[in-house]
Amino acid sequence: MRTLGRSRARAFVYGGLLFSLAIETTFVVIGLKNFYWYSSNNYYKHYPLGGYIIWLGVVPLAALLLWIMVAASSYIISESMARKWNEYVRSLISGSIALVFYLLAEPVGITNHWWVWNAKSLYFIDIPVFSLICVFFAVFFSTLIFRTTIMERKDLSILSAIEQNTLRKFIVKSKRATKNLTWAQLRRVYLFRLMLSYVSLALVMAPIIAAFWSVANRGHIKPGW
Amino acid sequence: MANKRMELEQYKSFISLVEEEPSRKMVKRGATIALIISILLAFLLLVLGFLSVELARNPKNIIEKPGSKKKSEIDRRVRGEYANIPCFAFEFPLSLGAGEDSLIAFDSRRSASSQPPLFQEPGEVKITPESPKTSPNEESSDKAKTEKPKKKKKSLPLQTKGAGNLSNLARSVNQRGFNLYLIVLTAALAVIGGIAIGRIRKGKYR
Repeated sequence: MRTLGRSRARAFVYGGLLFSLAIETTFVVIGLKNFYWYSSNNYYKHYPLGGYIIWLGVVPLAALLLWIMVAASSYIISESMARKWNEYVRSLISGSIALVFYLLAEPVGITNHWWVWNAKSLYFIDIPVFSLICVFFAVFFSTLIFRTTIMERKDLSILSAIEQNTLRKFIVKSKRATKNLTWAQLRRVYLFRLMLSYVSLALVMAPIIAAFWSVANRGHIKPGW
Repeated sequence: MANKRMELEQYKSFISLVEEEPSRKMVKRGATIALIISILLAFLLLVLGFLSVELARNPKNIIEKPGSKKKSEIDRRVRGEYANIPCFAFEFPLSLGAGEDSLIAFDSRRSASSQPPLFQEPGEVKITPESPKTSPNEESSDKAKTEKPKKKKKSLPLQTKGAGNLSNLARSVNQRGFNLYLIVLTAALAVIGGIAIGRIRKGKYR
């Protein structure tokens, strides 16, 4: 909040929460990942931090908060390190820093069964390689959308055709440039672009997951086991 | 008049991002605090990783789960004199290194009689689940018995080998591979965070 201002900080947190929730829920629903060991709460209930307490559907809040913390710190680091570069390069740096964070967090999480990767895929030190690629792209997309929409309030030429026919017509109901929109309208643009990022991420990750499935070195572990 | 009132009401929840913009001092402080917290998070993960090295060394850790507990027995024992020790330790001995820290899951199957030697080469380790109904292998083998014998599809093992297996890393470099891996990554994040904090303090942020 101190760094961004109250409204922008809320947008970052809630936007990140929704975005990461969508991604994690998709992974759990299609059987690539699960939080089973802690969900049943039978195994670690007696530990002081035993079991995930708050769940948003099939995903624990703790996992989402970890993602937000990593994304936020990656964002701040990239803003300070590459201030003069364009938003795409800064977002690439954010994604890279988040990748390093998750290279640290994943083995610890997997060893302690905070989550289990069920997917039949190519694994590196018991981390599926596609998950690291997904973290990179997820942070890349989310920080890019946040920068361009909330912080710099730019119109993205790549999205202009889609936005004009959908968002501007039916949701925002304004043809003004993004920098001239009210905060309420800007929020809708942000959520719309996040949704598009989610779809883009899915399109990017689907062939990657399929490719790693074909060269898998570990079989499928049933979810809920 | 009514139209004017409606127009003004639209701006009731008007937010001016310019007005909300924090001062430079506050931005610097906020960014520094955020980065310090992220560096502390990295160190916390390092410490948790160190505490779970024994689990990491077990090549079957991923596919094993603790035995089922009897709730009433556990509750009784928890309230009793063993409040700080995980209850199903009475059914299975504690593993080395993880016993005192109740935050960390431990491998309940590592009893002195049954655990494989730590220096065993991974090689062609057979996955033999010790209890029924606690391994996906068991369920799939039951299914295979009931179905007619068809062409046997070569299914992938549930335990990775070589660079794919965390236990190989944990047991490398004199049993300190995992520790070194965590130290290197934490150091990298601390350095990056430190450089960013330095640049923020100099005013090179936004």
